[in-house]
Amino acid sequence: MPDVFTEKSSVFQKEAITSHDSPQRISIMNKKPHKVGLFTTFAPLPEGVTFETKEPEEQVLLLVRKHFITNVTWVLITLFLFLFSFFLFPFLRSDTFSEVLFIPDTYLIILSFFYYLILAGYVLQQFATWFYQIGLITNERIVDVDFHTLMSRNVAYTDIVDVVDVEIIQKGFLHNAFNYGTVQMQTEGMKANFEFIDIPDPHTVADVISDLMRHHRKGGSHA
Amino acid sequence: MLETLLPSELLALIGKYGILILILLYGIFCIIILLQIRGIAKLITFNANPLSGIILAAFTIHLLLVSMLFLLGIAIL
Repeated sequence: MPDVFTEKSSVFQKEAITSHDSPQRISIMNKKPHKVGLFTTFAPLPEGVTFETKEPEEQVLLLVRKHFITNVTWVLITLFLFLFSFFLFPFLRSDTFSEVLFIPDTYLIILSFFYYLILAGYVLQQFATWFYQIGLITNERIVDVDFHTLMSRNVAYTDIVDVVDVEIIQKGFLHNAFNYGTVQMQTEGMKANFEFIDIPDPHTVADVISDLMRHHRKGGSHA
Repeated sequence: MLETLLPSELLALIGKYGILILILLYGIFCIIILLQIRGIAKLITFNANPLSGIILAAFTIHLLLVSMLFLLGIAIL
């Protein structure tokens, strides 16, 4: 009888060890480190990416940004405003407008330069907003950096152990055609839910989070 | 219509100063954005390649151009 108990406990011990062999269980760990460029939207094991509150032993497993196709709206607006300028400035020089408000020619040149500078500023601002709106998954937690505009930012952190459910939302033609979508993470208690909006390959991201959740539930402190 | 209410010289002045004030306001907005981006760049660091540096440099050049345009506007006033 004591032998049976010994045998059982050794089986449990064996299971516990295999559940901790994290590098093999967490699929993303088998991938090669990825260099992050200006237009990178999905980077497993991103090289040299850190954040303010990162712990020394913490490892960034995945960096995600919104899919590049989500930039189409502001690119089209920029194109429209650029083409619109070819009609705007001749109108400002016309007699019809001069009767209302006279702007000297030298100032019209300055105004046109100013218009194109604002346009360039709009492009820079939109790009920077897209560039810094990132999601990071480390072996310990999830970091969500949100920008509505460059003037308002929201940085949220949650431990992997607090995540109770992961959901993928892919709606419409574009989401399916370009394989991007939103990954929602429900957290315990009163903490707000996390979401990575319009990220590429949401299934892989959800898979990584699920792997980490499973790993942490089985007692692994880090991957 | 406005010309009947205001003399043409005044309209020309409104046109000139209006543009200068717009450039000035935009310059202030650019400075705020630049400071905001500097704050964000401290939050997330991309050590591998100086990506934040590229964006900051682009904004700084943009701000310089706006300042130059403002000075040009003052010079020809």
